[in-house]
Amino acid sequence: MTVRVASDSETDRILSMRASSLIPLPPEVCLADPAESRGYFRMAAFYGAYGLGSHPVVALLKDERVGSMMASALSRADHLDRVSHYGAWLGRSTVVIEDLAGPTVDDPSPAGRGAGPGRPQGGDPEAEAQPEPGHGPPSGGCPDRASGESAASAGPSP
Amino acid sequence: MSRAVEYVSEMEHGLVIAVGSGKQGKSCSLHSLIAMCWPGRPVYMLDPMEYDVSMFPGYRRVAEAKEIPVGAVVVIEDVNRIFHSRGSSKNTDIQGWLSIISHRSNVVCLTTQNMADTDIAFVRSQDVVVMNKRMHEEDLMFERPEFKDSQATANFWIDRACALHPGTDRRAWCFFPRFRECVSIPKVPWWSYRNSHMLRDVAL
Repeated sequence: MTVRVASDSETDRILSMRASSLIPLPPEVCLADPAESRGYFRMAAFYGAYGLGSHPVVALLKDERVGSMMASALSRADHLDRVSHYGAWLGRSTVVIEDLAGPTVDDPSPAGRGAGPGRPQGGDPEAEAQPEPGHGPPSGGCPDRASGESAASAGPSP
Repeated sequence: MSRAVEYVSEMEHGLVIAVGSGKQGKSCSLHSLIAMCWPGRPVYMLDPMEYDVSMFPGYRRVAEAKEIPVGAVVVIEDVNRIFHSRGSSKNTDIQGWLSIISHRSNVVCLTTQNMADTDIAFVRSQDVVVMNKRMHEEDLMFERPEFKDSQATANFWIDRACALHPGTDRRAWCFFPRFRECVSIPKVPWWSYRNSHMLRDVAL
């Protein structure tokens, strides 16, 4: 799948907001600054006052839970790299990361092994970090980096 | 083992192109890939400049494409230094050579700083495996559109792989867009400063 990447931030923001949502939004929200999305969702009350309360989109906006989820989805678009964001919503194909050149098992330095601070953990829809193919069974006492990354169990065990 | 490396090790003829900005580890990864995939195969460096090829153990240097024997791997460092980017329209040698590499079972491995400065005749109707390294934003802006997307993706995934594997040298990571894989290639043991600065003592 070919993805064309726009080069200015304004177009980016508009496209990523549109692409991130499977539900059409009213035009004021589509073109709004994500940081102000909370305010726009509060406008649902005004739609109700003008007799549009039964409109399905307004009914959707009134649901605060969905509203906050969508608001965070819109505001999160700033933090995602453009290409991966488009890839996640439009492409859905994952990239496999293979570490063939990783430090060997008899490397005694414990730093960088296991769950480091801020390491992205499970529930990541865009990537599948494959554990490295065995460089041999990990010697006793040395935490295997691959097990540190697998979604389920936590950090290094001595 | 990664699918990309398996595919390359089964390649009898074709092209491997390492693309990336300067000093991102293109040559090292390329030579490491050659050592990993084709351990016994003869490797020839195609380069008219005369440098000491003994710093690459087991390699030989040739100045012209016609001196390359059947079945060999050819490495061309900085391909637009040797085959100019628009040269194939004026000089048909490169096209003639590329059309018979499948008969001669040669794999041609190229190193280049971007595809915009590379003769596109290399990529036409060949079995090409592109290996992306990091490319700086300034170079990425001027990259060919058909390679720009995969290079931008490569930048992202290489950064991500570096973050996920902090113990691995960041310049070992390569992205293969054709196989959707980001692989770190272990460095050959003989790689040194001299190899990465091989043209340092050559007269221009």
